[in-house]
Amino acid sequence: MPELKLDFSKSLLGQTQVEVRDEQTSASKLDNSSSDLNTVLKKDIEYYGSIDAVSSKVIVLSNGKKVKLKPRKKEGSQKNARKSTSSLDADIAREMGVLVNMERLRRKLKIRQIVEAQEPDFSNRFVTKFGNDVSNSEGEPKRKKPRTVTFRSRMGNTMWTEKYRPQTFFDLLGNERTNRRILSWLNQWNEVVFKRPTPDMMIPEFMALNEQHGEPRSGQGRSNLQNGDGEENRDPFNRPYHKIMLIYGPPGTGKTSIAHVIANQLGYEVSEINASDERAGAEVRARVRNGLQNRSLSGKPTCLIADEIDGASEQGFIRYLTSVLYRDEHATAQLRKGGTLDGAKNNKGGGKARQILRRPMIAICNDAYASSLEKLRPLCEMVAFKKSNTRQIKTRLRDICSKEGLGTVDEKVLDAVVECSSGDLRSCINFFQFHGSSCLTTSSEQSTFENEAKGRDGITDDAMKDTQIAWYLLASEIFNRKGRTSKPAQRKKIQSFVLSLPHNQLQRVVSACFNAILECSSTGLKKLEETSRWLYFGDVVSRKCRAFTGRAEIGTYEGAVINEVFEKFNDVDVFSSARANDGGRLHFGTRDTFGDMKIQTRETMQRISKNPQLRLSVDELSILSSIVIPTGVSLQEFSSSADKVDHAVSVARKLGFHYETKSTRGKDGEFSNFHDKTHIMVPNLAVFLMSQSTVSKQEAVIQRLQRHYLRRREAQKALEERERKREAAEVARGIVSEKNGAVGGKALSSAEFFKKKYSEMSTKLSHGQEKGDAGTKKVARGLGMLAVIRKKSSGGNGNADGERKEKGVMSANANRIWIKYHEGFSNAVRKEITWSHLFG
Amino acid sequence: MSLWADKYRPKTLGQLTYHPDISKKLKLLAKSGDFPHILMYGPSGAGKKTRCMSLLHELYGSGVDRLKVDVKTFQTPSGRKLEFNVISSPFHMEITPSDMGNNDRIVIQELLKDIGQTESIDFAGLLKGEDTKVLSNNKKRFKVVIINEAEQLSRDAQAALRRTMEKFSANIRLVLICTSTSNIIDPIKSRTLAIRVGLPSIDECGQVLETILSHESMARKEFPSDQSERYEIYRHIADACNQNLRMGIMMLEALYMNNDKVTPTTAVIRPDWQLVIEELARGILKDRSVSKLQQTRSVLYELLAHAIPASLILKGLTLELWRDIDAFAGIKNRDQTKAEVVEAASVFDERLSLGSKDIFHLEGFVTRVMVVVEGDVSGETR
Repeated sequence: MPELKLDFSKSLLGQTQVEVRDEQTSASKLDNSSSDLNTVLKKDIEYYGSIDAVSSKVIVLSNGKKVKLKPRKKEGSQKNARKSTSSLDADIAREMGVLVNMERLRRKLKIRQIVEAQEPDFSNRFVTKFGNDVSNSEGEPKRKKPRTVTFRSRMGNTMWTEKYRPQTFFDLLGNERTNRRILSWLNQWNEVVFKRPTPDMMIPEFMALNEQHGEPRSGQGRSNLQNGDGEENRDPFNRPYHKIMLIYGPPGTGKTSIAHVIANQLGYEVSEINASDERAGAEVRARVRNGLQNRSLSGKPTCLIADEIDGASEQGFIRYLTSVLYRDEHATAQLRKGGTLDGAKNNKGGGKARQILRRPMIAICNDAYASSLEKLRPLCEMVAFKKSNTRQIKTRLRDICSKEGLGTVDEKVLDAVVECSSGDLRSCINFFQFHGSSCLTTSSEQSTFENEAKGRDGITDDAMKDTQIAWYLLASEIFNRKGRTSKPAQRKKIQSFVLSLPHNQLQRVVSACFNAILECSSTGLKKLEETSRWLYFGDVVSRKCRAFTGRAEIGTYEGAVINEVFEKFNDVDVFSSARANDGGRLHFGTRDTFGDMKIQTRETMQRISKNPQLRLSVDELSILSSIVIPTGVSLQEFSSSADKVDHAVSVARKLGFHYETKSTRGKDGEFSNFHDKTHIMVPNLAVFLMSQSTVSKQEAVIQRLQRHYLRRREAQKALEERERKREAAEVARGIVSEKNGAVGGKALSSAEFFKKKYSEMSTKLSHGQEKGDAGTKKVARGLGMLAVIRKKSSGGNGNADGERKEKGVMSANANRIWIKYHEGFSNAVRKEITWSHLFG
Repeated sequence: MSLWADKYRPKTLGQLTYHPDISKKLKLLAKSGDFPHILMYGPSGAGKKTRCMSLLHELYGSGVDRLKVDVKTFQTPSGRKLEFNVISSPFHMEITPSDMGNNDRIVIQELLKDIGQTESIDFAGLLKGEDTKVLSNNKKRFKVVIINEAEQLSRDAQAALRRTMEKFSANIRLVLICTSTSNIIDPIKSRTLAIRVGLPSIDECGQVLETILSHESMARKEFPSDQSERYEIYRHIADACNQNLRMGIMMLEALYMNNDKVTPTTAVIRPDWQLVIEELARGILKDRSVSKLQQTRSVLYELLAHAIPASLILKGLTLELWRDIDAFAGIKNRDQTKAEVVEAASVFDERLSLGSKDIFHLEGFVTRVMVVVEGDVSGETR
């Protein structure tokens, strides 16, 4: 058989995945049962059977080692390979009837062996470190001496969480798929970082993901690169589409660990920036730039890990990160356009090339949807970390315990600890470190241990994790008696809970209690009456708490209410089904409408209070509504009596109300056939009405009123128009009479004065024209253009219309300037200009 | 045309119809040209504000009727901007503390200091050429600040008023208008002249309504021409509005608007929340159970959402219960039950004013009443 050549750096990620997955779930079951392997191999054969066999294989391990594989030749380290497995291989091969690449299969076994070889004490591998300080370029396998001894010596003063931090990819817990995703993302940087080809990505889902982003498969991309021109969106360095990976998830799930492990494993030097570092703009800029552009002392490229970036204070940091990304995007786009690949490939290619991001960045946070991350989020490859599954955690814990000499820990204890930490492995390990030191030999001690673990159940461990239980959980806790815990125990639990909750949350709990007490099966009038005293107490406390800001500790007394409710209503079977669906409870929908109503009410009251004459109290508004929108009489009767309509409209207008027509849609967003429009009074007085029949009647009345109102306004406008015309006519007549020299009485206003002057001017002008005196004419025209009308502020709506009208009338004379003077306008400046001065 | 209640509001002391003794005293007060700080109290709709404005009219002339509304902005120490309306004429200024919420203290301090530190100059006197001696002795040098709903002032704000009232007394006169003096702190009470304006009697109400109708010729046609019949209608109205005259006038207007012909048998239009409360009170007496309490709670929520003040609900409920206990057959010891209900009402009224979650206390009251009534009906001694 010809020698196979295979790049293992690709395959470690891709091809071993399937195996690793199973390995992962049973991390401690080191002597694999044949059945496990069986399935693994089957899958592999199915998968790789289709792939054409290549001649020979050189495996490059993730740590840079190159291993040449020769077919059919067993290596020394493989001596202890399980015979059962190899025979199984053969079986499967026979079954499949295809040429099975035995080499591959063996190699898979070898991964484990390699690891084992590096760590002689494989079962103890958490205390050793995976050798990874081999420089990437050379293929010299360098064996790392296990550090078991040193670790052991430090055992006494090390946090277990640090001690047992995963060191290799296999040590990682959690979802295998996410782990692989991170690994392959980081692997995509190979080309730009190590200048070695990016491995084929064998994970179908990841390929799909990349193609979705318009990214070609790396293999193809590479060939395209060599061809010169490629697809539009192709990254010149085959970097991943998103240049930053954002890992998020609850604490204790191994986010930091995976970032470190994978970066280490792929030959990066980790440069971590976490919350303990100063992350204001300028400081962090230097660090990021160093991390992204420089090489570390060890000669390895750096991988920037930005830990805990979801704090609010990291705006500067995140802004810088985004700017780096945008600059990179820009540079990449230019590169693509210009096609100056060669120059850019060179690390010292010049200013433009330097903008290109050449190092991977991994960001880690708990809450990816924190407001501070808003800008960064779309630029990131998002990877969600979920809680690891309980079985994995338990296995790991058992391992650790046995290694730390705690012996075999009882399943129940493990269960309790894992459950109470809600999948936070770190807090589990912490728990065992600090509580496990008390020896667990005798059964009585074990039970106390268990109790202790249980005592943390639900409440205290949450405090330990620095997260609080949601208020609604507490509320349900108050009412539901758990069968297995006694009442005093539960009381204690609730008390500690109450203490941990902030004041505003307590208020919510109290409200929730108030909502629920009526539905309790054990409730009775007497009980409720007694509770009302406590509710009063809580109310007063919370009010006092609000009054004295900075004395929030008073608020904890509100917990007394919760205690009381607990004492009275806590029961195994709380909610009587008969009452559960009854009214009484303020549902969310109604709560919303009530909120709306309150807002509307406030607005209405504000509007009404602007009316200086009359101050109405809230309780009188429903009467007001029946005056302004009379629904008592039938519509015909109402519209037939014009004075009533008139009265309603004028009252409404006086109060500053107006009518509004709104087109409404059906609840599903469709237009219903009728009732396309609703007519409402603004402000909506219906808010103050309680009987629905009145409210529904209102609409028709409002419509009628509105029509009337519009008609009236038009009539009013017409009236004003007429008035205006008449005035204009009078003015014209006045001018004519003045022209004739019949000036009666003295000018009352400056406008009138002007009119007089104007008429004088115009007569003069005509005289001048007759004379043919050019000079006089010029002057006269200049002056004639200056006309000032002082607008008397007559008030009311007619004002604006009047002005327009006046303008229209006068605009016949083209060469005039009208200067309007608004009396009410604060910045209007009066200047003393005498007319005689103007007119010479 | 505006609301009748607005249109027929008396503008001068002479126009006031009832409480002639108060009007007389106010007239004398105005004649002296100066007056102390005044605390006007009495139930709503009795005419406190009207009297106050009439007094100002007497003092300053028709200038006080030239009202305008300003929106003033204040900045709280925490940096929040606070906006509220100030109604003012050249001679007075009117504020309502409930507009300001919790920050009324700051507003009171700032606003009053602002006014108090600026002396008003009588331009009218200057223009008339009166000599400076007259000007300096001008009796109307002060500005009047009316504080509506003074009982809503927080303790802090009232405390802030104390010193201001004395310090700036040269430039400021305060008129506090409130429905009850129980929330006013004693130092303020001692610094003010308290004037109680009581409700008009039913007959006085009728007279006022009659005057209005005599001016509204269109409306008058729809009311019976017989005077005694008209007065019967007025009596109904006065009953329904509890002699709250403003409400009464509005009811009259509503009656006119909503009916083609008004006869003594025409049902007076009452605010519908009152009907709801009546219904509620009846239900409470009849059915004393937890499920009823649940219904009650939703009704109470509904009432509160319609912006009916909780104290008003409590008052209405108590009065209705009082009435209904008489009619309710199951109760043995009526007087004691009534006393207990009223006691409960007073207890929960206090809680309402001290606490902030109205629904807790309203429901507490209903529960207490249920327990009391249940105890009486089943014969237990409490």
